[in-house]
Amino acid sequence: MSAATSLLVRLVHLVGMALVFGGAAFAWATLRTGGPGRAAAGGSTAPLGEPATLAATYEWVFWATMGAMVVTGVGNLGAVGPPGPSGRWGSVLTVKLLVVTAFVFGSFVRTLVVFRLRRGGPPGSGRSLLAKSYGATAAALLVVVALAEVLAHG
Amino acid sequence: MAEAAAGRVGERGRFEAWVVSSFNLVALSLVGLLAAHASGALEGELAGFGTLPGVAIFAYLWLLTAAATRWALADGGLADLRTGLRGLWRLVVRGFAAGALIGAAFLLGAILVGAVLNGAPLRSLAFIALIGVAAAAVVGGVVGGLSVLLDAGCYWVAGRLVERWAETGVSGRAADAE
Repeated sequence: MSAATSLLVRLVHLVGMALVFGGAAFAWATLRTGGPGRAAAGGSTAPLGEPATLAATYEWVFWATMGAMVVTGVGNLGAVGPPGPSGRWGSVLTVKLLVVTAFVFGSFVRTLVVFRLRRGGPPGSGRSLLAKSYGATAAALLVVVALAEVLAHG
Repeated sequence: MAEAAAGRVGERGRFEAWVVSSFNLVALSLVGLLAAHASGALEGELAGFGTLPGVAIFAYLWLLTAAATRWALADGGLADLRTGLRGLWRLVVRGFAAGALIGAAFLLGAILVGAVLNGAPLRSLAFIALIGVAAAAVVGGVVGGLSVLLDAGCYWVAGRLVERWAETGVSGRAADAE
């Protein structure tokens, strides 16, 4: 892989992570601290209105970014030369892949929560559940970033 | 008004197809990566693989998965699971068919591109392609059916979460009223 291609692959990977982490933190902050509908509906268990639109927009972007991050993650591994399964570096990669897989499954459940709420979830079920989901997403992404740092710098 | 409602349904259908197809592809890729890494095969496989071919193959597979998932979910989608085992069975059959289409189209595309790039005569590849495409369709079908079971499991978990939170919200408001 040429240096320019390698740089582009890393750039897409980093921008992708910034996008999903920043988006999750923004969604969490918006849903937790207010936004349209909260004051009128009276609290953290308000029915969904605008929050559903915000969540759906995030989910569209999130899955597009996850696809891009998987392919650029493999590209990154190809550029540095993937380790074997044994050894410290190989073990860190195993842990990272396991954590990312678990994160992807959890994220799909979160997306389906958004989907079910948009299809007519019961009143009072939306905002606090989504705020917690996006808070958990941001927290899990921090763990993934920490693992990526260990993988990249030892 | 009817047009607006149809637009909302269409938008939800596109959203559902996009997230389900992307999740299935990402999850399958990660499971494949994990298996390749655990067996020690990842090192050798990546060494002989270029970035552009890798991106092109992934993009082609994503396109096929998105189109096939949209077809598989067109008649009711995951909401079909609310009808119980009959709905699940209908989705598994559709998932099998969609997976078979993806497997066959993926291998056929790969063989065609490989033949064109290497200048191999297409007629000599026809027999191998026929057997390969049939095998890829079976493998793709099994993966498609299993993916539906996985999606259904996640859909059930999401439903339980929404119900639990709704109950908590209702009981919280009742306590406030008292």
